[in-house]
Amino acid sequence: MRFKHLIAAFSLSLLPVAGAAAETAAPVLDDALASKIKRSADDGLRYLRESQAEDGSWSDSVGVTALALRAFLENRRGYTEEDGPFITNPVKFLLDHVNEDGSISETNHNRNYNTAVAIVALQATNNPEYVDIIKHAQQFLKGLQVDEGEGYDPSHKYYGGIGYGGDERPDLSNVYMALEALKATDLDPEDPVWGKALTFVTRVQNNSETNDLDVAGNDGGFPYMPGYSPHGEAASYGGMTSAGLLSLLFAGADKDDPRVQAAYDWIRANYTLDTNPGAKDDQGLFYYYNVFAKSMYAYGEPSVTDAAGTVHDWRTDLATKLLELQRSDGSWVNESSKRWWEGDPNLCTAWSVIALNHVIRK
Amino acid sequence: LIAALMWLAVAGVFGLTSRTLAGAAPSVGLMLYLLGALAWLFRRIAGSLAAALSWLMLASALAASTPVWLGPLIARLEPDRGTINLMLAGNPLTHLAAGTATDYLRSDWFYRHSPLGGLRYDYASSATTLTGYLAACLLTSAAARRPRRARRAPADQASPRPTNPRQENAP
Repeated sequence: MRFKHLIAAFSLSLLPVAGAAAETAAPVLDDALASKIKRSADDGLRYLRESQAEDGSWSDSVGVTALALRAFLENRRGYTEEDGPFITNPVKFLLDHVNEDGSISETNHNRNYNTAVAIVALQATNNPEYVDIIKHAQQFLKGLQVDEGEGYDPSHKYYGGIGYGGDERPDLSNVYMALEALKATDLDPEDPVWGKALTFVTRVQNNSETNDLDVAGNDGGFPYMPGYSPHGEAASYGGMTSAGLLSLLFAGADKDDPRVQAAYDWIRANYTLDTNPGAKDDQGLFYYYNVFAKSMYAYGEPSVTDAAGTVHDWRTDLATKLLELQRSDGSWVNESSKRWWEGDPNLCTAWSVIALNHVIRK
Repeated sequence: LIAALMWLAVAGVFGLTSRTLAGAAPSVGLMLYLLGALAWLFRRIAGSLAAALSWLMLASALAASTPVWLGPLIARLEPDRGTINLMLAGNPLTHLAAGTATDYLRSDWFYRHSPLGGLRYDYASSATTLTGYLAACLLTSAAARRPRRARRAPADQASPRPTNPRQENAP
């Protein structure tokens, strides 16, 4: 009996140490898996080179072109504009679509999304020639934010949000894309855009502790808009909860913030990479993989302990799933649903390579 | 005139700016003309103005709401982008939105009630929809103004063909 107590006391004394170790441990990937990941990313990039149009674009879209370009520029191989036309042509394609208002887009109805991903890619070139274009685009993105300028009071549920750019209906996905772009391009952390965005993001979260709106759910996750989810009522789902977590971190909330904790707890409780948890018919699956990788990287924990107490190495899990889904030609595509453009292999491949870049990034 | 006043009232409710109104004016003008021509045509077919207006309202509602009632089927069939664009080009809301650069499929109401906002699509350009609606206006006007075809008289009837259409229908 006494011996058992000693063992228990010894075990308990180790727990905080183990916890601290888990929190600070550097990412360690199995060597064989790390090699597979690098080869998989290379295969994805090779596919993108083969599917690239003559003008350097992908899918005749500024958004897809910018994401594919980013996949190259952020890859461990360190591609730059000096590597040739497969990098300089898509850069030129983006620059050819710079509009007078600062947006970078081929259409008027995806201007936020296109401009946001375009300046992330231009920033990743590290070319100082694009500084003015990026600054102008930042102003354009800030101008899309719903605030007093459009007659919205801070108490309005849409206040601080950003939409596609063709209307004033904001959503969390567009906010996350814009915040990621503004963060990547070093917008002043004191700029009011962050605080306003934080107001909107807080009101999207299904968390009555911090949300001053009447929320349908109270699980800490995120739907698409305040009180609305495309997967039913205001249901939280994986893609948006990772986007919400990332948006909170970008907007200045720290890991101890109750909103961040609630979002992370939702991810723990719904941890899976087999589906986009909470979504119908695997809709938005690759969007989920991409934003999950970025949010986990930004959160900074090497593992996720689910509600049952099982510890998951998210890098290994995500990489294993992406390797499993990669097609023989090196591409990825959502076989279950084309919604949100996921029937386009260029888009899914770009997102997957960016996710893998985050998996192996130190 | 009533329709134009209704449009101005809608513009006021949604807070449309004078610039937006000016941009939409050609589209709205053609749309109102087409509705008038269709009402005239339907009246000739239905026989009464009340029936014609009922038909017109039903047809307009069906045409404008295609993203809602046809959208789920399209989202399930997952056709190519061209098919979706074609369906959208036929929607009168696309014609009205083209002049104001409004992305109506991503508006709050449509995004909640139609899956099309989550698919890849492109709206027809303002010039394309204006051309299409101008052609529709001309065709509908021609059909509405076209004299009714006279009933063929029996070969052995000696009496001349009536010149007044009302007379032709008389018992």
